[in-house]
Amino acid sequence: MRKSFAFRISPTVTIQGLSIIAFIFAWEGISRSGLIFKDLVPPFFTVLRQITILLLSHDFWGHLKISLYEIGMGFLLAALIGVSLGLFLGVRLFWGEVFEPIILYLAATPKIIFFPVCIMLFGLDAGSKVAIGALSGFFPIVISILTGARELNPIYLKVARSFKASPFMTYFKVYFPAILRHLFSGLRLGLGVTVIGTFLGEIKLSRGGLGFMAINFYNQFDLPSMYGIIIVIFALAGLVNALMGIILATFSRYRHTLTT
Amino acid sequence: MNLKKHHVIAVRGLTVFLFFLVLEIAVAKGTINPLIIARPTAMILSLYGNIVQGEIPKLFLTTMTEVSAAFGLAALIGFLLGYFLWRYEYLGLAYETLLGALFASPLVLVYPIFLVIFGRSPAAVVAMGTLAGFIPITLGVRDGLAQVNRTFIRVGKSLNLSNRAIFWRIQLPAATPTIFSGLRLGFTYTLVNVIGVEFLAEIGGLGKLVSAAYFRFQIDTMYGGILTIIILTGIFIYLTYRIQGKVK
Repeated sequence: MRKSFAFRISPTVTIQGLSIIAFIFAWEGISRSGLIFKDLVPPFFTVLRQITILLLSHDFWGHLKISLYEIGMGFLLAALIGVSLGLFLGVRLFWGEVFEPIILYLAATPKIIFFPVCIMLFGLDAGSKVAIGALSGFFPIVISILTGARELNPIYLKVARSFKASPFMTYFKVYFPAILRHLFSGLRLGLGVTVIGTFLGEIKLSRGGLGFMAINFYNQFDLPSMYGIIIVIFALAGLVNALMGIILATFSRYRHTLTT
Repeated sequence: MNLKKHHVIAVRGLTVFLFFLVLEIAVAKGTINPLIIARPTAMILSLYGNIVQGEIPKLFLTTMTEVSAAFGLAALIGFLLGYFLWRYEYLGLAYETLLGALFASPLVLVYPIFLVIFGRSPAAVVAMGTLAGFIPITLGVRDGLAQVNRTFIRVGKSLNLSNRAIFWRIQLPAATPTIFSGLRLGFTYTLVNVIGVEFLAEIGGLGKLVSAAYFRFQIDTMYGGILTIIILTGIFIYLTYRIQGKVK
């Protein structure tokens, strides 16, 4: 039906591309005119140049390493605790009902207000960021797993019981494959929130990391660098999310070979 | 059935109570450093003091004013933009992806830019709240209107209704549940972002209280503030669920 589809760019993509270009031009125009936000909005190309300088500096890579470490550890903790607690609450229906509302309500509060507690418990450095990242990421993961485990078809469990599967086998051969879809969406959401929590912690109070760089530039009123580092952080978050997507997609393919 | 439900609630209450009791004893005995975690009784006492004669009512009002302003703006932008994106299908398809990507991005991290543009003022907080809230509302309005069953519209046409009447009397009511989901999500995001930026930049209401109390080392006040925020968001989440139940 669509013969020339390789050479045709869909109107959707055209509009998206044009919008982004228009946004950049508007930014540049507002800043160059200097009428509205004099000095407060540096020209787009100045920011772009600043990003290049940042990426070439030795400093940046050190801070990047700190941020990546904090995000990685925070996410790992969130996933471990979230999955095990979610499974437990999903399997023990009574305790699931007891704790679900508490978890749902706490999940809606802004987690960053617990950051002072994290600092007092784990110090100014990476520990407190790992803690706030883990706390943020924990909620979407535990909620997804809990929902997934609860939706499990009871017949699967009966089959497992009639085959005299051990609890360990039941977890790995019945629950785990059955909740994979929820596990994946939970992990993806959780990672996104962990990234936010970690960077917010760094911006609030820290001695290293990209968030620390951003707030440092803010305090020095080096605005082109501040805008630059924020753009870099967004790009990094997008990259992390995309990587997670690829990893999960690979696993999904594996899942299909499992089920069929 | 009913008995079991009471049982669950009783155990839930008991668990929360036991948690605080253990905390109280651990802090009182010094197992947990009282400089790090306040005794629950001290939290509640400080909270009570702060409500009766302290700054909490005023700060609460500030936060609520910011949330209302931000949510009002977000709803206004969301409705206009959502309607627009529904009316012009290509724009809608293009912007749905763009807005979705923006919604998935760590949007709150742009708050230093708002501090630069608006200064350290409640305006920066409102701007952040609006930015976070308008996306789900826009998507909700667009999706809601787009999903309306074609048959309803055909019925309207066969009754010789004008386009305006079809929109107000058929399409909008049919889209209401989806629009309301968008509003609910938008409100939650606005609330969380307002309090978050208040805390991060130390401006405005309850979020500022937590940050300021921490830096002044008033641990009881800080925990009192955290407790207030948890209760406040809890009440709002409960109310939005109740209202959504009614809408459906």
